[in-house]
Amino acid sequence: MRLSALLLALVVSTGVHAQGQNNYGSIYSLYGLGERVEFGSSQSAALGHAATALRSGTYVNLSNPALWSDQGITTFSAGASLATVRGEDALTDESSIGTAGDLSSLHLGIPILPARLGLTLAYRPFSRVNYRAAIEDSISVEGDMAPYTLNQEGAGGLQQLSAGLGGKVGSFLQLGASADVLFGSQELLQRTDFDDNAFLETRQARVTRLRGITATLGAAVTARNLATDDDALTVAASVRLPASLDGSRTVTLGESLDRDTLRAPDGSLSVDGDVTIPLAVRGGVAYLSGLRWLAALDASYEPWSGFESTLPVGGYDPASGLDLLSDRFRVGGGVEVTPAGRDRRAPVLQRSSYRIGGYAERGLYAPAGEDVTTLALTGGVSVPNRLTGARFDLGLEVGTRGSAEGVLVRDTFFKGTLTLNFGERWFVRRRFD
Amino acid sequence: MRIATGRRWEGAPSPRPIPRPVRLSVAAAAAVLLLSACQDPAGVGLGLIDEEQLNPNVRTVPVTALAETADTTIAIGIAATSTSGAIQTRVLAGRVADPVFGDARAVAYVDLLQSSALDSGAEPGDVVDAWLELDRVYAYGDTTTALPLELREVQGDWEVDTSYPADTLFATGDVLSTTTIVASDTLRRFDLPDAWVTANAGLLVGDDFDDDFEGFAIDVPASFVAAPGVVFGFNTFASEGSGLRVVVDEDTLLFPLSEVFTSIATDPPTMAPAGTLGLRAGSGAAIRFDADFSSIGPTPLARARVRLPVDASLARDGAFVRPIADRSFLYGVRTVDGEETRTLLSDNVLYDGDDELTVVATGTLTSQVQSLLLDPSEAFERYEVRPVAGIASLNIYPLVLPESQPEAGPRFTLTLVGSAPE
Repeated sequence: MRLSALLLALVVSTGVHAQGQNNYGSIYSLYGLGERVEFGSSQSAALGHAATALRSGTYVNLSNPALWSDQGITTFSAGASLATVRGEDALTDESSIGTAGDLSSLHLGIPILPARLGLTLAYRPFSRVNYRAAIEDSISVEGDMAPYTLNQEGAGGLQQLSAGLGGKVGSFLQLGASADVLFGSQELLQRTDFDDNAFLETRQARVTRLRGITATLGAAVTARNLATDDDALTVAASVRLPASLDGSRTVTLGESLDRDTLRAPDGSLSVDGDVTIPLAVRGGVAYLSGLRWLAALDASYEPWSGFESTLPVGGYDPASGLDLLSDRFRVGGGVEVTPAGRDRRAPVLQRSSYRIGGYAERGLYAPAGEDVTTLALTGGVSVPNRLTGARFDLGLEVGTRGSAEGVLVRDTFFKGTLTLNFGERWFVRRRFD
Repeated sequence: MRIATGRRWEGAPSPRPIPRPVRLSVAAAAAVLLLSACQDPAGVGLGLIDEEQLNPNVRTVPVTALAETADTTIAIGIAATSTSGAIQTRVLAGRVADPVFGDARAVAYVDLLQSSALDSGAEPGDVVDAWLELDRVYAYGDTTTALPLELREVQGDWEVDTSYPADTLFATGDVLSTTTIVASDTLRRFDLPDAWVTANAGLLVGDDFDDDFEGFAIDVPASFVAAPGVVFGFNTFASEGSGLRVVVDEDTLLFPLSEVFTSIATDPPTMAPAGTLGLRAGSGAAIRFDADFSSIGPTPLARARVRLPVDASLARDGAFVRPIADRSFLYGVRTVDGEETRTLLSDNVLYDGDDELTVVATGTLTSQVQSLLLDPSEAFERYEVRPVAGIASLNIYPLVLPESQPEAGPRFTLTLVGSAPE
C-alpha cells in the first residue's frame, strides 16, 4: 500500500507539475473546441487507442460503458501525460517546440455485482487548446520604429465527467450507459509586447465558458473458445450522443486580477450562445488468447462538419460563413504480450505486459481545404506490483501530424503517459465461525 | 461488511524491496517528465492565424480648444527651503522689455538662517566681515546686458505664506551694496559695508538672529532702463554656494538662505506672435485643451503620448533668450459631485529641445487613457498643462495653435493593438 501511495503521489504530482510547464502544443488546437483527446485506459493508449472492445479485469475502459460490467474488484487509476510538439511550416525556416502536460484521467470503478454489474466514475479531458504563435515585427510611430512581438495564445479546453453503469446480460452480451457532463473554458489571449519599456504590454483575452450534458451508450458481444480453450473474441460499439452546450463569452483587457471586461455592442458584459458537438461512433474488435497475448482494432467517426455554434470559434464563424471543420476519422490497433500471464510466481519482467500499436487519424479541421492526417506509433509497458495489486503503466506515443506545405504545419510529437492502476477488494462480507 | 486493511500478520515475511525494473521505470519516467525542455515557439503556423485584427496601429486624436486658463494653484508666495512642499529653488531679479511675451520686473527677497557652525562663545567683536553670495543659474532677456543690482535690508516681517500676490513688494531700507552682473558670471558677491557689519555684529552672533533678521532684497536701481534688459535667476541652495558669508575670528561661516520670495510683475504683450498661444509659465495662467476619444472605442492601448508643437524660433532672437518651459505637469480635469477634481496624468511633460513639448514617462497617462477608452464615462472634461511649481522663472509656452499647423499639430498619439471588438 505504501508503494501504491508513493506511486500515486508521483503520478499526480507529475501531472500537476506538468501543467505548470509552458503548456504549448499543436497550432492545430486552435480549431473548433481544441484538439480532441482520446483516453480509454492506459492499456488502450499503448494499443493505438483501440479501446471499444478491449475487455479487462484490471483496467476500466472509459471508451465503452458496456465493458464496466467486467469489474471484479474496486479499481482506481490516475494518469498524467506530457507531450512535446515540434512544429515546422513552409513559411518560415524556424521551428517551434512546445511542451504541454496534463492530468490524463482519474477514475473510480466499483463492482456492484462482481463481474456482472459495475459502476464507474471518471474524469478525463475531452479537448485541449494549447497553442502559441509569435510574430515579430515593428511599427512606425510617427517616424520612430517600435519593435514588438505579437503573441496569440490559446489555452483551456473541455473536461468530461462521466458516471455510468455497465451490466452483463446473459453470458455473452454486455450493455452500458453513462451520463457525461462536458464543461470547461477556452481562452484565446492576444498579447503584444514591445521592446521599448515606454509601451505597455497589452493583453486581450476572449474567454468562452461552455457546459452541457450528453450520454454514451455501449454494447459488446463476446464469443469464447474459438481457436483454443481460453480465447475470446469481442466485438463492440459505442455511441456518444450529440451534445448541446450552453456558452458564455467575455472579452477582457489586462492581466490576472486586474482585468477589465469589455462590453459587448449591446452593452452587456458577456455574450451567450449555443454550441452543438456532433455525435461520436466507435466500433472495435479484440481477440484475447489465454492471458498471454491480445490484439485489438478500433475505428471511430465524428462528423464535425455538422458542428454548429452561435459563437465564433477557431475555423468556424457563423456570421462570415467560415467553416474549416471536417469529419474526423480514426483507425487504430495494437498487440499486447504478457509472457507469464497471471503466474504470480514468475519474475517481474515475465509478469509485465508489453504493448505496441499505432493509429491513423484525419483531423476535425481542414485549413485551406487541406486534410490534416496524423500517423502515430504507440507503445508501452505495464509493470505489476505483486503485493499491492497495482500496475504501473508507462506509455509512449510518437507521430506526425499535417504537412509542411502551403499554410499547413507539420507537427512531430512525442508523448509520454504515466498511469497508476490499482484495485482492492472492498466490501468483503465478514465471515464468522 | 469489512473493508480489507491489508494488515500484516505475525510471521509474515517482510515486504520485498521494490524491484529494480520498477525503480528504474519510475526514475526514468520522472526524469523525462520533470526535465523536459521547453522553448518559446517561433513564427510557425502564422498562415493559420487570423492576425489582421491584432496588428498594432497608430491613431492620432487632435487637441482642440487650445487656450489659456487661470492657474490658481501655483505657490506664488514665499517658501522655506526646509519645507519640501513649498520649496523655491530659485529667485529672480532684474527687468526686461519684451513686446512678444510682455515686459517683466523681478525683485528677489531672501531671508537667512544663522550658521550651525557658529561657536556659542562668539562675541560681536569677533565679527570681521560679511558679504552675500548668490549662484547665478538663469537668464531671460538680452544676455549681453550688464545688469546693475542693489542690495537692501528688508524692513518689517514677512512669513511663509502662499497667498501673497505675485507682485507683492516689501518695505526695504537704504542701499547697502551694489554690483553688476553679466551672463557669464556664476557666483556673484554683494559686499556689506563695514558700518553695517559693525552695527549688526551682535545680531549676527546672537541667539535671536533667525527671528529678528528679515533678510535682504535684490533689485535693479530705479534709474535702470530695460533696453531690452535682462532678468537673472539665482539658486537658493547653500550647496551651490548661495548664502551670507560671515567672518568670525578666522572662520568664514555660511549662513544659508531660508525663506525666499520673488516678486514678479508682468505686462501684457504688445506684439503677440501670430499662430501661437504665447503664455508665460508661472504667470498665473496655464494651458488648457480638449480631446475626444469617442471614435477609438474599447481598444487595447500600448502607449498614449501627448505632443504639443512649439515655435522654437521664439526661444532665441540673437542674444535675446526666452527659455521654453522645460518641465510641466499634465492634468485631466473632471467634475465629481459638483466639484472639479484634477488627476495628475504626467509629471514629465518635457521640452524635447527641438520643436515640441511631449510626455516622456507615459505609463500613468497610458493607463488613464486606457480607462477612458474602456469606459467613456471616465472621460475628462478638459486637460491642463501647468509649469512646475517651486522654480521661479519667466519661461514661455510658445505653443503652435492647431489652425496654424493642421499637419502634425497638437495631438494625442495612441499606439493601439487591434481594433475595438465587435
